[in-house]
Amino acid sequence: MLSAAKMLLGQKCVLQCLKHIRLYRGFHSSGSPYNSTAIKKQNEIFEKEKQRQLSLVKRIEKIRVNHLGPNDECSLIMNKYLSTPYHVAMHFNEIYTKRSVMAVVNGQPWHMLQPLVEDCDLRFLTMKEEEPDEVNRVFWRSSAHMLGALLLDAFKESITVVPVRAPDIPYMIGCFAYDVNLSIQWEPTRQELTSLKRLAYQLSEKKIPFERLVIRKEVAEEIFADNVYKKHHLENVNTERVTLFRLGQFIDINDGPMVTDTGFMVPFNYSITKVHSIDDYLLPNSKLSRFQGVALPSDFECHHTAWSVIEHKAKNPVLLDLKPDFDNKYLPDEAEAAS
Amino acid sequence: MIVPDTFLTSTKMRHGKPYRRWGGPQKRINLLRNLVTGLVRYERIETSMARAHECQKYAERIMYVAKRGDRDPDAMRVADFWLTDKAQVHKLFKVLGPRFAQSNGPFTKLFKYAEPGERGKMTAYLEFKGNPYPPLQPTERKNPKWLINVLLEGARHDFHSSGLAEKVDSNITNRRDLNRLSQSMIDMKLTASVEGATASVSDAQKDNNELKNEDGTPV
Repeated sequence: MLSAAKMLLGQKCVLQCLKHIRLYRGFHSSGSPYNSTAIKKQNEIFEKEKQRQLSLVKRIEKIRVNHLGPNDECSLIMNKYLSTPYHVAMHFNEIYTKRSVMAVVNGQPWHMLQPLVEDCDLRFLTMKEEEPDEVNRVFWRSSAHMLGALLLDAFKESITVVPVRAPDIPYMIGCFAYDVNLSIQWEPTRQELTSLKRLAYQLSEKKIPFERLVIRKEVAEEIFADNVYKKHHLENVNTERVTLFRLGQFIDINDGPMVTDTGFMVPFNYSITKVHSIDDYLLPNSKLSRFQGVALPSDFECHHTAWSVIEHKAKNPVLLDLKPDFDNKYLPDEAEAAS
Repeated sequence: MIVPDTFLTSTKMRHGKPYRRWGGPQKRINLLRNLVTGLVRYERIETSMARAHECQKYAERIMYVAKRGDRDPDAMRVADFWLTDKAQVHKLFKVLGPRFAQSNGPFTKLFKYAEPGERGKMTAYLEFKGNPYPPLQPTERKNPKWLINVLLEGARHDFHSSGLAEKVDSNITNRRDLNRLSQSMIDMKLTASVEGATASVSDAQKDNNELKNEDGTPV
């Protein structure tokens, strides 16, 4: 993935962006630099923790799952702490696994790859619901997460990319975003944005799952030892346990739920439209780069004219949710109304 | 376009002659009269694609005749010629004519529902609109809250609030162009999402009134 990304972005592009360097507003953390070894270490801890949690299930117990869909109403006997809504969907039809964005388990939104823990009533949601607000937000959140994942691989080793956070931008605004700390000031050309789009193309072709893991805060601190922004986030949240999502090599703190895999994004309807600078909320003398994009789920076919209209709207720089809000004062709907 | 399957009854090329011959004028007319009568009687018939396609032209024409009313002697004469079952003359003028009084056509729908089989004939349904039977195709689902519609609505809102239309207005003297631009933004119909559609509708049969969207949703 990494080498392919380099080939795509190419020496020419990177040389071009090196020309634009005005200042190195680097990442001044005391920890080790955020590079491939750090990412590898993160993934090792994540994998170890995942295996540990799996090994805690010694004895397989059975639970009864009632499927209340519009079709295929039935009840199934599944494995406690092991079976997920995805496994339930596999019992019905392939369409269920491909189109279900998320499940509703006992009235709670539930990630498709999250194990079921008790007897429950289960319902699958697709992008074409009568009230699609919840699934739209799930799709938007996953698209932003995927943007973070592809930015991690997009640049050369010499350029440090520190993932900061996915701002909560409502889908009504017309774009999602991911904030990163780049070690260079980068004003991408149209070709470079297209190269990023090709990475998204590759990612969505591979259908990589969004893995969910709930871990203790200490383990999370261990995972994000090299990332000051995540450490700051973990210091400020009050909960004992945090939810992580992993896509490929990219791990981020997110409450979820998200879609099942990257196959939900249409390869040619995923664009990175704008890159602009915002103020760093944590480090002085530093700027963050906000990458904006827009995507459509595979349930909707879109004419290229309509898609260009949607893309054009996503090019407006959005300055919402500039810093994390731990007191829940930030409400996306109010922010939208104010803007 | 519908590909005619029984065009050629001779080996000669028949350029510019789109009608099927079917063994001579008299045979052809008799066949079509029976088809039109059957259509008026049952309002939906199942026959081969070639016959349905040919019959459709005459079914459309006879509705214009029916709309002239039974007091018109010419209309009555044409109806008398085309309907072999005379009981259907009453239905034509009293039921179908008033049904399409407000419509300028097309009055019929043609559904092709199977590929050519062993005998090389495609099967099709021909029906009058507003018939009492259940629909052959599922109805289109549209929802302004779907993601693509929300995004397009946002873009459209931006276009109108940007004042670009007014700016263009001061530069362009041709008012009609501006109206067309504005109208095309409103009527932007991009994709139709038919869930599990099985039959394809002939393009010519799409009603203009159906294309217009009630809630302004592009999908």
